[in-house]
Amino acid sequence: MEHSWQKRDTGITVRIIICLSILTLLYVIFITVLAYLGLGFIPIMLISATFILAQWFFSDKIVLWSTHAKIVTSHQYPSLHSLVERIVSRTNMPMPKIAVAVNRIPNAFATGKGPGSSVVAVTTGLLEILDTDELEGVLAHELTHIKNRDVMVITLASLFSTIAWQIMQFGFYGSLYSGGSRDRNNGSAFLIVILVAFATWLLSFFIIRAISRYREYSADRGAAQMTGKPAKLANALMKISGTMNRVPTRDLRQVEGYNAFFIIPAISRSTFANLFSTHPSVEKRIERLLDMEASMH
Amino acid sequence: MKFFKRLLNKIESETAASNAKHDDSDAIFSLASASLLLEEKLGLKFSKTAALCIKIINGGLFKNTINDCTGLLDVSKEEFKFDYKIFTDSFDYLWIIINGKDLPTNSDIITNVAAALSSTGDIIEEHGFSNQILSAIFQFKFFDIHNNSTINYKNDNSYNNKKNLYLIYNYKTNNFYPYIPIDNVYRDASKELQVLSILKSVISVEEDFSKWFPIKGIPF
Repeated sequence: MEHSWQKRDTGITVRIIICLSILTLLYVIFITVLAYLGLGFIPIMLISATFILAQWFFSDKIVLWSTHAKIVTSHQYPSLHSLVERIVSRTNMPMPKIAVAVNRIPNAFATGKGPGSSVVAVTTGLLEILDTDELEGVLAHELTHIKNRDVMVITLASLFSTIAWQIMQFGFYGSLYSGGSRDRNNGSAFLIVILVAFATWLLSFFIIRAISRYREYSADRGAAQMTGKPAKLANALMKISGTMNRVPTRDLRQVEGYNAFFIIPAISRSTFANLFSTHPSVEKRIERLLDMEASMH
Repeated sequence: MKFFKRLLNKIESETAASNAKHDDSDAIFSLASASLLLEEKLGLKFSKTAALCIKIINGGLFKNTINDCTGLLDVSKEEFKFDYKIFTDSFDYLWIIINGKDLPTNSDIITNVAAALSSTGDIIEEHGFSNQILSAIFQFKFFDIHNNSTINYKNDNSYNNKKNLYLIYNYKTNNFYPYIPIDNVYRDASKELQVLSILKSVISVEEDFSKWFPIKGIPF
């Protein structure tokens, strides 16, 4: 029997990624058009700076809006609030706002510009399946993201890639103008600009994903340190990812008759898929958490 | 049957020469150090009880094999300090349950019990019934770490009284995995994960959770 919450969730992550990608794409197209129209370097830099700042400033609103998460008060979810309060008071962080999304799929995320103005959001599905210790682990993971200013780190990383891309673009336009043969080479030059822009964007896409995966490990680590219970977070990850569903409940003596089960290989995801993901595989995260657990005892 | 061969190599050095290619003969000591780790880090003590679980085949040959096993256990139980009993469960599996006697150190007890299991397994293997062996199961009990303390630890006390860890050695995959039943349906996966994390440096553990099949109603 498989419940909907036991399936590997991608819903919320996909929605956030789609929203932010569309924004980035619009921004790239807009700047390209401006540059193509021959606007100067300084005005374009100002416009892009405004865009990036706006995106950063409204990032939490965009994320909450795209996931349908609503800010909740301590009257609505008292135990959730007190759980977060206990963690933040131990780690000397300001209390974040708490949001809940009505969604059967268990998930949690953090957003915000810094420890002072951040939001930790959980889905109702998460509250349903996790016990208190596991929920504490997940919340501590999200709080570590806030403490580490991971939203800012990723925004900065994207900013550098954007700047690199624009410098390259202006380099092309500069040589184009000085060459004096603008009309004849116009079409092919524009194509090259688009291609280089695309290559830069693609490269930064993978780099940002690599950084993001690394931030996930450090958030796991931080959560384990905050709660002192890495095995509980590993447990929560198993539940959220549906790995827990793989721990069998049927008796060994019952399945022994079907000898076939021994040859089923463990499902391994390709490295290609890993390149695209912002999170490391759950197996690897669980393994690292368990190593921490072992070293703690 | 690598595990029992490895165990046997340790006990009877003359067979070690013929099995030189399976020279991974540290298993029995690994088991002893695993029990030390569990005691030190999780407050789990070997309960002196372990068992071999064997699928029964009707017929004289199998019966003779089991008679040979009990014969061996009878002659060696004085030297290796253990008692044993035989049990048949509702799945029609035969359990040879070994009860170690008190010895100065826990390592000695688990070493002796494992040696008894390994020689039993070897007899079954010699008779050509190795496929019938399902698993070897070692029982560990939580002892109260806070015995002398007046502080009442909310979770630990109720926990320690009820739950046992069964370290299951799967005969087909040659790996150990933990099983901590809460009742007939549920298991304590989070504690099992802790056990896995602690043991994986000393014994070969099953890292694929989908193979952690429970054995319900273990008769000891």
